[in-house]
Amino acid sequence: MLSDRVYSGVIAAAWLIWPGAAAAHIGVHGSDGFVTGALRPVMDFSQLLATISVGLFVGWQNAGNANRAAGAFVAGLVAGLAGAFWSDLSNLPAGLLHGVAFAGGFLAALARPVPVFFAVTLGGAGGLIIGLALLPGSESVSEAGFALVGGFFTVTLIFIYAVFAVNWLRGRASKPWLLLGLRIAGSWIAAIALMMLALTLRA
Amino acid sequence: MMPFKKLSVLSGAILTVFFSVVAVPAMAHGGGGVSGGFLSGFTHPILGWDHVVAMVAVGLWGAFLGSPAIWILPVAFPLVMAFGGALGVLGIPVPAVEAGIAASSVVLGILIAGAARAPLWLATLIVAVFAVFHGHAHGTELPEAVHPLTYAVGFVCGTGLLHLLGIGLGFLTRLPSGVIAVRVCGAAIAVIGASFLFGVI
Repeated sequence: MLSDRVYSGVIAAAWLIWPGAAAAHIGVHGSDGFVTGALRPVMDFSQLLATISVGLFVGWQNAGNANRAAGAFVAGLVAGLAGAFWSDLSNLPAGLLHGVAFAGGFLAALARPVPVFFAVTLGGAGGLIIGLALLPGSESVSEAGFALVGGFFTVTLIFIYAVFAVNWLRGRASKPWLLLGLRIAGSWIAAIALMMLALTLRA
Repeated sequence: MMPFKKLSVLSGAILTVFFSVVAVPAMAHGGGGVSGGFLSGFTHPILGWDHVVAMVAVGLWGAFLGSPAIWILPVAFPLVMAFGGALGVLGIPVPAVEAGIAASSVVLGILIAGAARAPLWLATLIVAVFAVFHGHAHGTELPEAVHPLTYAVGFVCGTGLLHLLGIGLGFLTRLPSGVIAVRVCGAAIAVIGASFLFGVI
């Protein structure tokens, strides 16, 4: 299980930085792109579902596997963002994100640890696809760069929150229905993603 | 056995959350796009009484069967329902969808009324089979939805809340004479389901 102190530190640092994005006067160069990119993973529901589902899945893994899977997710995310920055991936199939959300949600609903290879593969692939889907959509190269940094920031934060939520509840919850809530969340995400996947295939 | 006070608080909380959320569609400005899609999906299972009684029955039977059914059924149902929904989205026909939905209320209602304690695998199988019919009905409407993603989110949330409502009612079984009340609920669900099945309603 990942260290609570590490999570707490990352989350505290993230929230120290975050108020800057909400400030009334955001005249710093690149801040518009950063804010746009940071909001993208929250405004795009497909990305949000995919990120949360992978986080829930990783949270259910054993300590060593969770660390490796989380590392693979971040590495995949960086690779995906780099791919989005330097490549024209405007035709990235929308079903990929739904596939990630379904796989993560389904495994989170099962709430069972999986072999390390599988955990790392899903974590890495999830990060990669989520990163690739964060296309900047900006004319300016620098703005696009800031947007991707913002996207990285938010996706990582959401992912850590999801992993942390599962870890925290697994460690402290004496009430079984709290853990059941996490499994139901995984189940609902998988259900939504499966139907969206079908809709994508239909199109 | 759960103390009565805790039980009351828990059931009250579930009912409050449920009805608070249900109240949203009554707003004057329903909106379109994202919010319209969510409301449309959310109200689809809630405004259809054939869906309502069946979903409540799933939660009720789960609570009646106790652990682990109480948590397996609400986890398994959305997944299988989504499979049925995917069939509907892809245009793959499932025979007698409406009859299957009505039959789900009849069968689950009878099982609750008869206090049937089926093995877990059988309970899951029964619920899963009926989930396909419910999912197909939702999925057929998905492509025409204003915002398909939020429609899907809405109807999964609506369905899940109905399960929780049933589970909340199912806690009555932990009270003296509560089992009788739950069995009466099961009988009522079966009657409503039969009314749909035979076209009375």
